[in-house]
Amino acid sequence: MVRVVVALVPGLAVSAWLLGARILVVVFICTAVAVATEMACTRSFKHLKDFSAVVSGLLIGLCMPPTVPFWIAGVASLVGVGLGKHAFGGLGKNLFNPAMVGYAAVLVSFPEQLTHYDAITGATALEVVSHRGASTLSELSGHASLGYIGAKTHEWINGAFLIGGCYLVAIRVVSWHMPLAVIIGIALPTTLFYDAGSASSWGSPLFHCFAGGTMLTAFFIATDPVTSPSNTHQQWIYGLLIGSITMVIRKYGSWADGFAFAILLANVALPLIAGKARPRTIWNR
Amino acid sequence: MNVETSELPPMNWRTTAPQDILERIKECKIVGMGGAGYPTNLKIAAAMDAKSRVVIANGVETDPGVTADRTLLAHHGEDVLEGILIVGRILNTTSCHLAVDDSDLASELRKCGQHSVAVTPVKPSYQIGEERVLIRKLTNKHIPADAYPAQDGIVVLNVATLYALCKCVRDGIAPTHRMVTVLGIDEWHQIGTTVRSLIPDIRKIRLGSSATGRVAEHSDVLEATHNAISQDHSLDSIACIRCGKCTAACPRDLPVERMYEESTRAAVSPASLQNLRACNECGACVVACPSRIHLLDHIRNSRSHCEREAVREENARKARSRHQSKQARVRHSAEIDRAKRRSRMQQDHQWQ
Repeated sequence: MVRVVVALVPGLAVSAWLLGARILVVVFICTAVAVATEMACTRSFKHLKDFSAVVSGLLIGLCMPPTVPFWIAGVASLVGVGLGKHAFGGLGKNLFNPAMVGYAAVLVSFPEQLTHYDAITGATALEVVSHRGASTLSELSGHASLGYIGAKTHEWINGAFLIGGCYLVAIRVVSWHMPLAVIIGIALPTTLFYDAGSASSWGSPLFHCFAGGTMLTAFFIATDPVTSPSNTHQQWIYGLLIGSITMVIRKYGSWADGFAFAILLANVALPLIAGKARPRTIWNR
Repeated sequence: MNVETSELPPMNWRTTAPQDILERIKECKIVGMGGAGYPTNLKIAAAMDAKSRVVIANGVETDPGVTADRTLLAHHGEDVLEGILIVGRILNTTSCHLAVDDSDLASELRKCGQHSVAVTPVKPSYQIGEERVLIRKLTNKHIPADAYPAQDGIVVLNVATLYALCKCVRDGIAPTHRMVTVLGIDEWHQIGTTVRSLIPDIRKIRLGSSATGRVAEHSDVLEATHNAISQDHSLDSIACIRCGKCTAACPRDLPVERMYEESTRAAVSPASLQNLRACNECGACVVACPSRIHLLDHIRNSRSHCEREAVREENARKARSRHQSKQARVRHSAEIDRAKRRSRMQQDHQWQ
């Protein structure tokens, strides 16, 4: 898991560069609280060496908007590691992704503070596209929150996570199936409902791939080994499920970005997926 | 290698009858030194009746960090090749193979002048050292899991076994030592040496390779089947993160992850029992595990636990059926007694 931390560094650096150094403080607080919670729950330092608490803390911190109050960031880590992981019995026994439990808990508890994402425009690009009323996409193209292909600033952050994710795939810490499945799960519905950018369009596939937390979800959150399936068929189903639920929430939900809920819903569906695509053994057939 | 002087006379195996050679092998108690420890004379005898007979010398080592067989071949290649010819003579066949995983070593061995043995370099991939995989590679024959290759006339012997066999037949020297990789160094050690005299810190080692070996105990001695003493890498293992790499690594497609989970809960389903039996303990899952969990330990524990349970259940079943038949017997004799008494009472009544 040390290499996962290394792979998060480009994304973290670009976030700090574009969103301001405050995000570094937020990430540090999240990580520190996650590590402290881990130590408090296991009452030993022994479990820190697997770095799972550090990764959970970093992921929670990177999901947070830079303007979030520090105590909310701390609560997210506390809930994520304490309730999401150790209430279930520690590493390897948790049913839900700890980072997403923490993030979703504060997202529904403090929506005001968590959705003030963009300090300049007061709205994220995903919200602008989602709640644009009757205007077409081309009318929106000059909006301050939009960048070249995705959301302003977030297209660069997503690009950095894509690079870090490609590093993880290259050193075979994660398989390429799951990130690709998540990205296809997002790109496929958007391609089907793009219809050249009319008023009812979902937004372009490229925009959705480089907006919000798409790349972070695809490469770092969905690939958590504990809460995701391990065989390839199941990984495809799981990834497509996450991508498509994210898209449904982005289009019809009241939240700007839905990856946290998509991950949690896919975690709930995991026994169902594992039961459907059970690995066959040559010795039992 | 210093070996005590033998009591047996040297033997010219080219002129001796096969039965006498087998008798000599039996007398010297040659066993399979690759790991199973099966008596070699029985293995050869089982193959003698088969239609086509093949001798395969297994010099392929795929366990991580074990080089004992390779070193033996490099230093005593002629003796091993002669051992192959001896087995070939017993079985009356000229189809003799020596598989090694090093092409340089193979060309060295070809220079020894034993042209009737086909020295075959195989690509060193995991599992190629396993008997059935090697047979498939060399002869393209598939041996099912519930059959032994010797029944089909295929005798697969480890090179250390063949070396010992050659020494005992040709020179009359029973094996007392074997080549062992002790923490990466190949040495001759006497069989029966206490392991703690070789490695004082007994808690950190495994008998066998670090992947397939078992944890050493204080009273363990070096046996003929131990080809290595290795470090135990599983001491600093962390929790299972269910990544599934063990399941992906298993050459027999066993659901290792689920088997591990069931072994930690001590709740093994009947399907898993079948899987536990199908495991050939190759250790690929141990090598694959990023948490350094020694999965093979758990699988072995689980299997022995299940087998104990099966024996207990069988005993309980027998006891129950004994009890039931006794009950039936008692009931039956009571029935008879009651019938007798009734008839006696009726007779008494008639008298009055």
